[in-house]
Parts: sequence; C-alpha cells; structure tokens
Amino acid sequence: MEPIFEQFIRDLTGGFQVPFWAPMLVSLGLVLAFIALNAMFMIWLERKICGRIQRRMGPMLTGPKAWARFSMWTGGWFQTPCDSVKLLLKEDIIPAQVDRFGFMLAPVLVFMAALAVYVPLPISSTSHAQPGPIVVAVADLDIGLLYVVAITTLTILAILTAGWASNNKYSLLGGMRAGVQILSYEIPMLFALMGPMVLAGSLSLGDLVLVQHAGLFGVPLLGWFLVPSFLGAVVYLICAVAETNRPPFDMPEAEQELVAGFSTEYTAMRFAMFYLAEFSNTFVVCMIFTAVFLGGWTLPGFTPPSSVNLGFFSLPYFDLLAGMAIFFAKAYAVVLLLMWIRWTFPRLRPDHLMTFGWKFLLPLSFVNLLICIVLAAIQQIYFGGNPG
Amino acid sequence: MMRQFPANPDLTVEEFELNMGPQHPSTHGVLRLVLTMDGERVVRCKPVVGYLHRSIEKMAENRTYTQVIPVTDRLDYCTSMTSNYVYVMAVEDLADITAPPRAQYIRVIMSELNRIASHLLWYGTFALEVGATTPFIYGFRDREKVLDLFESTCGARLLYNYLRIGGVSRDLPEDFSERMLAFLDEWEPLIREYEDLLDENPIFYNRTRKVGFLSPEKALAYGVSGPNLRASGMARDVRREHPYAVYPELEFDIPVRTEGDVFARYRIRMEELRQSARILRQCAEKLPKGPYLEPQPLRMVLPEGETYVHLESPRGDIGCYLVSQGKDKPYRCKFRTPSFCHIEVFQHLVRDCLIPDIMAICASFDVVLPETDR
Amino acid sequence: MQNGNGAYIALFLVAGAIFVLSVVTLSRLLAPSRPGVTKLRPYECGEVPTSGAWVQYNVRYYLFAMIFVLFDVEAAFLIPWAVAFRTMIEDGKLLLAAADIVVFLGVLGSALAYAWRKEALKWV
Repeated sequence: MEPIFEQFIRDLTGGFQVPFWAPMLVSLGLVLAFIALNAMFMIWLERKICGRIQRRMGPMLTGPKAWARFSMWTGGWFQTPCDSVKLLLKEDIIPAQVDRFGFMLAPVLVFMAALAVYVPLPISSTSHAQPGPIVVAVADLDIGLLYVVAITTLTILAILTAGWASNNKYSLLGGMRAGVQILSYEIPMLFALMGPMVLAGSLSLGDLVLVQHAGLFGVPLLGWFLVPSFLGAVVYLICAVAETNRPPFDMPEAEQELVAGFSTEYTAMRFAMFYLAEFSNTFVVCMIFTAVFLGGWTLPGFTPPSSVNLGFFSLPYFDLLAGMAIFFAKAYAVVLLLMWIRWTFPRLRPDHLMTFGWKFLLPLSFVNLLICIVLAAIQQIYFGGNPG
Repeated sequence: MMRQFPANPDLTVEEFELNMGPQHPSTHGVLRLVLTMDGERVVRCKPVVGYLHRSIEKMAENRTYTQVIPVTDRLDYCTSMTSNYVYVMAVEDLADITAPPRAQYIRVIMSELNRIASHLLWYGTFALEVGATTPFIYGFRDREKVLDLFESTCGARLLYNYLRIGGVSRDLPEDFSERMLAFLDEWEPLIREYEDLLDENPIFYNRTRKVGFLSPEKALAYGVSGPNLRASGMARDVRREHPYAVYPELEFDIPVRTEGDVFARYRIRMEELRQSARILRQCAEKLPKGPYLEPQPLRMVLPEGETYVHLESPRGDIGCYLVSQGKDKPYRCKFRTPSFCHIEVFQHLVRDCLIPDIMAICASFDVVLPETDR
Repeated sequence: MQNGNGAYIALFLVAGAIFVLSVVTLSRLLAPSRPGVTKLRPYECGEVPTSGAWVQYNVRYYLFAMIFVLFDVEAAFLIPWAVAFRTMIEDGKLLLAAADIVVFLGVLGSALAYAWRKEALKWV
C-alpha cells in the first residue's frame, strides 16, 4: 500500500511527500468502508440467492418500488441498510448475571480479528510503483499465509469468551462447540495450505499468486494451485466454511438446537459485530482461496497493460484496476459457491465434524501434501526455480 | 450433581439442567423438555406438556353434537379433516347413521389430501430441524396447493369444519376431480425432488441412521402408532385392520421398514405420500354420484350408550370414546391422540444422545402439541 | 518484510477495538434503555433458570484437544521446511529434503494411526 499510495500522490500533486501515517490511515479507512459495504451487499446477496434456491424472491419491499418491478435482482436494495439502522437503535441489554468484562470483550475481539486479517491480503499488482512492480495489499507480509491462519483463530477465542461470559446454558454449549470447530478444521487446514507453500516456496500471499501466474511445468494453465493441489483446495474450502461458522458447520449458533448459541444474550450493536465479522470472515476466506488456489488477480497467460490509451483519454493504473476486477470476480464466485452449500446441506453433528476432520480431511491433506512435494520437486529440478 | 473420575479424583464434571422449551425454535409449539445434561450428552429427559391445554374434551360436553365439530378442528390443526372424521364417526356409530356413498368417498379424499398436507408440513419442519432450510420451503410450497383444493371445497385452509354427521357440509366443486388429478400429476414427480434433497446426503444420512432406535416391543408397549410404528417393523394400519369408509374397496400398500430409526421414519412418510396419491387417483375414478349428506336435526339426540372408534390420522391411531346419556350433548367425549404416546416414548430414546439428536428424534416422531394437550 | 508492517497490524488491531467501542457507544446514546428484572434474566426458553451456567462442563472432546496441540506444534515445525523445500533442491539437497519430510510425515501419520487405532478419535 505504501509505495503505490506515495506514487499516486506524487503523480497527482507533482512531488508531494506524504507523511508516513497517511497511507496507514487511508488503507485503514478503505478496509473499514469495504468491510461495512461489502457485508451489507453480501447479506443482501445471500438473501437473494437463498430466495432463488428456495423459489422465493427474497426482500423486495425496501427501496425504490420502481426497481423492484423490474426483476427480483433489483428489489430490496435497502434491506440491509435498514437492518443496520434497526440494530443501531435497538436496546443494548447486558443481562444481570453475565461476566461483564468478558461479555463486552468478545465483540471487540471478534472484530479486531476480522479487521486485522485484511492486512496481508493482496488484491492486485501494478508496475507503476518505484522502484519496480509491486503487489497491492495493505502490507504484503512475508508470512502472510501463516498470519491469516493465526489471526482468524482469534474469532474462535472470541466466541468461546462470549459463550462462557454470557452465563447462559445455550451460550455455554455454543461456546464449547466453537472449540469443536477449531479442533476439527485447524490441522487439516494447515496441512492443506502446506501444499501451496511447498509449491511456491513462500508464505507471502503475493508471491503465491506470482508463482501461480508463472505456471507449472512451463504450462500457464496448470499454474493455479487448484490443479496441482486439488485435494488441498477441497479440504481448505470445507475447513473455511467450518471456520466462518456458516451452515452446514454453524454449530456454535445452531438455531434449531441452541436457539442462538453463543450470541443468545447479545443484542443490538454487540450482536451486529458478530454478524458483521461473520460475513467479513466469509469474504476473507474466499479472498484467501482466490489468492492461494485460484491465481489471485491473474489470468493464465494474460498480463494487463500498465495503462491503456483510448486516444482522447489515457487511463493509468489499468493493470491495478484489471487485477482488482479479476480478483473480486473470482472471490465472488467462491462466495456464491459457499452460499449454494449453505442453503443445500443439513447441519453436521459436532462429533461427526470431529471424526470427519480427523479421519477424512486430515489424511486427505497428507496425501495432498505428498503430491505437491513430488510436483514441486519435478518443477524445481526440470523447470528451474521460482520467478519471484 | 458432581461426578468424579476414578483415575483422578481432583477432576470433576457437573451435570446441569437445561430447559428446552416452551419458547424454543424447534420444540413444535410449546413442548418443554427438562434435560439433565452431562456436557453435550443427555442424561435424562423429562417432557412437560400442557402449555397448550384448551380443555377440548370438557368443552365438548357443553355443546350439541353438531357444535362439537368445529372444536375438533382445533384438536390437531395440521390435519383437521381426520380429527373431524373421528368424532363424526363416533356420533354416527352411536346414532346408527350411515353416510351416503358419495360422502364416504369425499371423506376418504379429504383424509388422504390432509395426509399429504400434513406429511409435507412434517417434511419441511423435519428437514429444518436437522438444519436444512431449503426443504422447508419446498414442503410448504406444495402444501399450499393442497390447501387450495381444501379452500375451494369448504372455504377454509386450516380449520375446515367440513364433515357433518351424516355426510359432509357441501358437495365437491364441479371441477374438483380434474383439479385434484392435475395437482397429483404435477406433484407426484416432486416427491423425487424432496428425496433428492435429503436421501443421499451423507450429512443427513449420518444424522439420521441408527439414531433414536425404537424397538417394536417398546413401540407397542408405549402405544406408538402410525408411521412411527411401521418404521419399527410392524405393519399396523387402522385403514387395513379395522377398515372404515370405503378403504376396503381401494388398493394401497402399507410401507414398512424394520430399522426403527429416524431415517426409517422419514422414509415411511415419503412412501406414504406416494400411497396417498395412489388412493386419491382411485377415489377420483370411483367417486359415485348421489347425495353428499343425509341431513340430521340440528339438535339431534343420541340414544343412550357408548362407543369407541378410531382411524388412521397422518400421525397415527386417533380414537374417540363417546358416551351418550340420551341427551343432545355428549356426556363424555374422550380423544385418544397418537402424539401423546409418542412424547411418552420419546424421552427414553433421547437418553445418551447429543443435543442435535434430540431435534432429529423429536421431529421424526411428528409430534403435534395441540393434539397432545387437547 | 518491509519495515513498519508490524505497525500496520498493530494499527488494525487497535482500530478494530476502537471501532467496536465507538459503535456500541453510539448505539447506547441513540437506543432506548429500559432494563427490568425479566429482561435482564438469562434466556432459558421462557423458564426461570434453575441454576447458573458456570458449571464444571464435561468437555467430551478433550482427547482431540490433546492430539490437536501435538499436531499443531508439529505443523508449525513443518512450515519452515515447506518454504525452504525448493531452495534446498536448488542447493542440491534433494535427498535431505525428501528424507526430512518422509520421516516427519511418517511420524505424524503413525501418530494419527495410533490415535485412531486406540480409539482416541471419538467423543467420550
């Protein structure tokens, strides 16, 4: 973010040197706005997709009536903004017997994790920056992949805190089920991601994308790690759904069983934070999946020009914009897949999830790792080193 | 209660009591389960009923025989037709009235349509309670079409008040048979769609197979009836064993499964949907012309005596015990309802299960609370 | 890592906390507040709870938790190896790299198989 932002301001103002905190605050503002707007859009989309799957139309009444007349996809646009206002204006109830500190801490914790995970996610690249082409992320950490796996774990801790602090038996059961979740998916997920790590030889999400773009065995089409690490992609996707507490893995809040699980006692904005974080995390895992398995902002054998000249108008940063468009298109494709899964499957039982994770996903991710090792060795020996 | 681990006396776990219901998303209205939990496992389960008690039986004693019919609608609002039917059947038995053949056929048509509606409702809620949201809407979508047929017949969609002593309150609309057959043609292939959503889904399969096993001995001991009994391997059906109305003239199979688990109870109901469709097609073909009602005086007086009749409702064996002392009101009107027995046996099946299994088992019994509490 | 990446993470964590606190405060300012005895009681399906929820909960999956810790630590050891694998081949240490992983995965796999065999991989 820093170099590209400084470059952009310099280009715009003709050499103005921005203070060091400016890119930080700008990126923070962008991410916060993105989380809020994207979550609102995703909730609307989820309702529409759900409606489509269930032969309904979803929300149609809020928003301009004229739009709703056109098709089901144009109706109900104001539903989630209205919901947000409603949540803002709802009474904030803190039950008498809760552990107040833990009760208030949990929503903070869950949102901290949801926000901080955005730091290393690369959304595009550009060749405009000095001194050379760079990856556009808030900060492309060189341990990015490890970082996102580590920081998303905080969510589970927050849910556990919420469940215990609420002093409600349903919350307690829900919180304890959060433990089931993490024990089941964390290990297979790590091993599933280890395949791409071996293939790329790096933990930086930006490097992972660049290696995928370079292709495997000299073939660009094989480059996406979805191909060499197919089992890993499947395992990761399942684990990602479990991680975000989405059905069919929504056991901590299992509505039909635990009323609302860990969030039973939460109301108003505190509840909204859990909700917001859940949708934000859902999009984050889709972004990670895109970056690690779907080639990020690249398309095989396609390098967008750094700027296009339309004759009367020259568009700089074209490669950045094109990369972002490709990236978000892929990420939303994964989002749609997750929604499809959500509205099709029944919920798992906690012990089934555990045995599933340990007896099925984990051996599968071992196999995937071995395949990736062999492929990485062949690539290294016969086709040479990394481009990155 | 504290429990100690023999290997390490410092380690203890505590059992705790959990109220599930009356205000819970999946206790079918207002069932309350007092659960003693050991972690996520159920140690004891005590069902508490009575939150929906409306003293239907007592109300019946203060109304004329005809006035009782709308009360029986409320007995089980998912299948009002059979509740109507069992009461009307008892009165007709005491008064020695036989409804005209056309009325008999109409009653069977209504019973079977109501069975379809009730099973579709059950399919939706059952799937919802194992966590699948979409089948719920699918079940309700097609139930609406059945309700449309009811509405065109008697004007009501939920509480029909359609059957009368000596027949039915009005004749079928002229195009009823065509519309019913059109519905069946459209809907029967959709049963396959319902099954596609659940049957071969490994999550659903694991959630329902070998869960909530009910042995035939236990089922009989607790008076379990209907699809739940047939899922435990007993081919018992009132329509076959004590045939009423025109059932002897109709061809249908009684689906039986021997597993006795949640999955078997689910499969039985799906098969029953097909059988009901089969019965309806035969009825549409055989439906005779003629009067639909043998009118009775509004304040009819029944001779002294008592009777017990029963029939096969979608939930099982529903019975009515009627005592007359020669007045225009029943002296006693007692209903034997299947859901009450099912709740009784349910508490034994959830022992040692996990919480999600409670929902699956409870839903698989198709317990309806208004019928239990009356 | 460029200098100052840690600052980004710290900033985002702090900003997350500040964001939540500010919206909760905003909601407290805007929303009504009429607490009552029943409203402040823990929810237990409309019944008055018979006991508190802070019990010695029987965590039925503690065996998984213990195996989990072991595997998690081993996975953490494996990550540096995974990153260095291609560099090691470049340095001509293919056999060493391969032997590393075979031994490591072998140990992990047999540990999993052992736990499986001993039926530790189920709820107690």
